Amino acid sequence: MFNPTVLMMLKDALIETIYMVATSTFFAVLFGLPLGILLVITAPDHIKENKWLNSILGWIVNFGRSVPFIILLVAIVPFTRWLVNTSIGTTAAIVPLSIAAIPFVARVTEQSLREVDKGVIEAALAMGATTSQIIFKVLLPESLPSLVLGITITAVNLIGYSAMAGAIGGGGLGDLAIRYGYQRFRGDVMLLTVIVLVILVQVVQTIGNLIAKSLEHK
Amino acid sequence: MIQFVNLTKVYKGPGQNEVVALKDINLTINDSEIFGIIGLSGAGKSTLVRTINLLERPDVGSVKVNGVEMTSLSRPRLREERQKIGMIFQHFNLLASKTVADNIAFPLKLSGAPKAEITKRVNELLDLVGLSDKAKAYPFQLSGGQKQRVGIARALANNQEILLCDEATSALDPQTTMSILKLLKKINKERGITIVIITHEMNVIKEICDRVAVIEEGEIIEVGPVSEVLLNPTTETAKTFLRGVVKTEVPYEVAARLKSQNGGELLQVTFLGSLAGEPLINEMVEKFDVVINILYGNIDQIRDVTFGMLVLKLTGPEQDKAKAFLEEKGLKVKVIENV
Repeated sequence: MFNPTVLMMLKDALIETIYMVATSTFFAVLFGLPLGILLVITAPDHIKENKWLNSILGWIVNFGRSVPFIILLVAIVPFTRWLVNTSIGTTAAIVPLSIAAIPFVARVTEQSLREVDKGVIEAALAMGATTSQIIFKVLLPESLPSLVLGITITAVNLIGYSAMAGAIGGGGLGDLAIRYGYQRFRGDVMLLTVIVLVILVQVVQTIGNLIAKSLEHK
Repeated sequence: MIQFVNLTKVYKGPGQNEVVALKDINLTINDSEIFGIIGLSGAGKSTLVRTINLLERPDVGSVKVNGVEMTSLSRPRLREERQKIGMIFQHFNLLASKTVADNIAFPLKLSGAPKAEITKRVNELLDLVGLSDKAKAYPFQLSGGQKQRVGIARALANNQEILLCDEATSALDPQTTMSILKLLKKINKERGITIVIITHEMNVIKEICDRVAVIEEGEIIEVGPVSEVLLNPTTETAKTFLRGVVKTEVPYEVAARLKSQNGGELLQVTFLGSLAGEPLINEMVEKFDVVINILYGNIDQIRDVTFGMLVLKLTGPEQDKAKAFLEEKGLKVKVIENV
């Protein structure tokens, strides 16, 4: 079970998973966070109320979230190929992973920012704050602990999704478990992979919790 | 100076429903005065105070702050004007993620003040509100009164000329309320800042306001110096607020006892200010052939005005002359009933 070849494969797969999850979490936040901010500030009674933009964005986000990941993975192959010049491999898997997580991050952001007390926003308006000052000096700092927890949930979800990336030769722990553990009946590889995944999720969640806690002043 | 002219605000509810929040308000608040606006919840006082910094935009009419028409300002100009008006809130509305010092520095950072100036100013303000030892604390570590002190410091950071207080003491216990009111009074005296207070607590008005407006269903139904409105309320709403704050009514027990005694006339005499110090009752008894019996008395103070109320039983041949004498001297005499 602990022969060097298996451990070597496990190490490589772990690195691939971390690479995929970290990169796609980064891109998901990069695009999902602004989308979430827009969803909040264009909502009724918020600082930039805009019924049309809000409904359109809400519709797009719901659409994105309703497409099953395994279908998205295949459906956007042409886009992936155009973007990263290949549709196979770890880097190619990052594209659908990021796209799948963007609407999720948008909703998580929306929920966090909505928790910011309306009174605090009103106080900032009364002080003459601009819209961007309210976003960057009030909404984001005030909801930071909650945002960190939301991003942690996104990363944990992406660890799960990344297992499916094996379908396009994406590599990573999930891929290893299916190819060796399932298809070649290597129960030991399967077990080890699952153990490593469990530990990875625990570590990510714990780090997220610790960061959120250190930012919270309640 | 804050001037409201023909101010009207209508909220559109669901369907064709319209709620008139403010109805043709005309009011002037003078420089350096503490002006109170009192009303029941839903009367429109919150909306009214929010039209001053245009957090609420009126549908009709004008709001002028120090001569500047607020309703016609461009967005950047409005933000500039807002920086000159401080505001404090019932629930303090501090930033939970920032320390006391950073909360106070917040408006200064928004207006892009240099760092050295911010530090200096924050220290001055911490000193003013008596929280120098709490600079590094977070809001969750403070009591309600301390939070409101931070709110006040924050609202004065830009050397504001006007301070709006939106139910600023309603979430505080009576003792803390008093200490916050004392602080507001001190700031008003030392800096000549105009303070607008909205509240549903008559005690707040009685304690620090110079003038008061009573608002009901979006309309100002009474306005005047506090002592005048408190002692001679003309509307039912004002009277309701006054009950329990200023005692001008004969207690039930006294009234019952009087009924059992026969003869004479029952008078309620109210006196204000310097009159409260003159021995007028004594003078009356010496001058006229009357006998008086003081049945009930009460003396109180509204800001700097002392006022008193006596219930007398007046008997004797010259009782009408005696009554006229008191009125001549400026006392308010009301015949309660002929016993």
